[in-house]
Amino acid sequence: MTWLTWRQHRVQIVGLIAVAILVTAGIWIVAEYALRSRAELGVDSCVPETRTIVTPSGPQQIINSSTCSDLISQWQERIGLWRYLFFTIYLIPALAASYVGGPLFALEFERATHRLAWTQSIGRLRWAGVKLAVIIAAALIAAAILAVAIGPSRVLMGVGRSGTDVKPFETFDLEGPAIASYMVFGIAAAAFVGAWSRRILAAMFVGLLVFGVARVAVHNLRPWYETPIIMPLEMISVIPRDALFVDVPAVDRDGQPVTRERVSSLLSEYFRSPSRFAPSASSNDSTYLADRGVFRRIGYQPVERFWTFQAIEAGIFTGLAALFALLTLWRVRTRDA
Amino acid sequence: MDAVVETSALTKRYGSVIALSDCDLALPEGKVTGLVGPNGAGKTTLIHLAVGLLRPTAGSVRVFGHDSVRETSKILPRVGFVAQDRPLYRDLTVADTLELGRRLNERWDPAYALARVRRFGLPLSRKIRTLSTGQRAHVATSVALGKRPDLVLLDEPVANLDPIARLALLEELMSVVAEDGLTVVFSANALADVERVCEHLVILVNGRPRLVGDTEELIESHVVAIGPRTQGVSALDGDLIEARHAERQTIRLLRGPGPARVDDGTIVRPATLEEIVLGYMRPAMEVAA
Repeated sequence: MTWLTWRQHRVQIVGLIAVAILVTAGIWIVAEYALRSRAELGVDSCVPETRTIVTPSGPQQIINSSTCSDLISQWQERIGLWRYLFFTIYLIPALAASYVGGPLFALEFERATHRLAWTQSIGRLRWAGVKLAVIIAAALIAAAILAVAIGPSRVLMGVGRSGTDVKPFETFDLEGPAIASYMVFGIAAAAFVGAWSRRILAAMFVGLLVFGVARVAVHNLRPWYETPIIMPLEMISVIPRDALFVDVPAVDRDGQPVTRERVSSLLSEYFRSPSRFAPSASSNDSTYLADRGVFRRIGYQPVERFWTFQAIEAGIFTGLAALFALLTLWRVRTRDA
Repeated sequence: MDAVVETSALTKRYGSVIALSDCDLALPEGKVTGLVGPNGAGKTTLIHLAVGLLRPTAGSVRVFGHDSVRETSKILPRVGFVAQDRPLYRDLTVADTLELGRRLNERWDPAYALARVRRFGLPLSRKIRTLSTGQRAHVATSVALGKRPDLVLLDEPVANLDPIARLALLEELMSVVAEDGLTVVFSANALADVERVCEHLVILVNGRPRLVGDTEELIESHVVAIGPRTQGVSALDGDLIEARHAERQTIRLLRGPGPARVDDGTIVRPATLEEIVLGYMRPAMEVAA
């Protein structure tokens, strides 16, 4: 049965792995080019030009920073739109779901070949199980290749920001465990839709939709995988730069949450009041809110939790994938042909 | 006579549509059984129930004495099945398709399957989608027979084939039955094919067996009487199956020894299989309509 699955789907399997190799190689090449031309242009060794001009109050030094920022934009122009290449990694699991997972069972039903396969001696359950397993194994190989692109992807993401550091959480979705679980989930979900609907188009489209909805939903859930560390908004500068910021509601004196509307209405009140024209340590928007019993807060997830979060994210999608795979097997086993 | 396929009170419903209702049948071993009936009579449903592609709504099918739902794994290795329109993987070559048979069946005779494919001059390296309908039919039956099955179930095996391919396939099936003594059940719309090869006949109408019996017996026990137009059943012996009235004549299909008197000008002759089949099918269809 492994042979048959390979023979039937080798174009998709080879295609998926080839796309992963091409994308990874492409990102790596562009990132190498970005690093090299940055060095060539001397972006990091740029010293702002200084001039001494004579003013009535004596000579003054003027720093002309435009020479260095010109270098940065020159660098960015060299790379051009190629810096967006890493975005394709977000799309590959979706495409795999639609083009590999969708037709996996739906095509058999549409062409009635399931009646050929199900009446050989091996049985439906093994037929469906092996099909899913082979395709998922191929998807994992593709994901492993894409995972190599994480470093270069971070370089490309940094290009848009003049080359400043990219925080680990910003490329969370491109990290190995996450990308592998997205891939497996997408394929299992679309395969299930195909086994259920028996229509290729439905499987390709609805499978994609299920994948997208799950990705967005889980993405919104991510900041809450663990209870965030919460502190007053005024202490935001204390939070390590590489943490994941979490939006948490303001509280009143009793620690009860205050609605967003209340906070914003108080703030607009403050900005219309005369006191805003003399902000000081003892009188600013925060003290204005505090006087009225509202304390804004900020939460964050420290970078030390990064790999725990990866494990949770991958666990969620792998669990969903397993659920869809089981539903597919159950559907194949019990349904009328 | 042992029954290879045995149904008891077999019923299959698709939503509110009844495809088979309360069907009791026993298909004999070592014979070619033809399953005949109008479109929608339940032929495909019956065959699919036997190979476990469908589950009965009520009742049961037993193949080789095994339940078709719970013991499918005991049935399938011994059954060669070709579904309607002979589904095959279009992008596989003929050789790949035989390899599929080998890999998916523990009972598989590679030499036999290959010899069959060669006999029909099918190029091994050609992809299925480039083959003609007739060639595909030969590949599909080769996969079914390569299992060296004890029972062959074919759903409309000769549909869409030209007369030559039709005959070639049927003769091939007949010789397989004769050599290996296996049981063949096939459904057909064309009565001529049935007449040519079937030893046993099941006429299905509206999900119920209307007539079951050995072909020879059926032919021997039915007569056609063509006489002057009369409404009632005249003094003809036997059970009236169907009476059709033309302008001046009445044509009757009778089951029984035939008429004792023919003095009103009635001509009596043995019925052909086609006349028997149509004679049983038409009245049942009219009742349903």
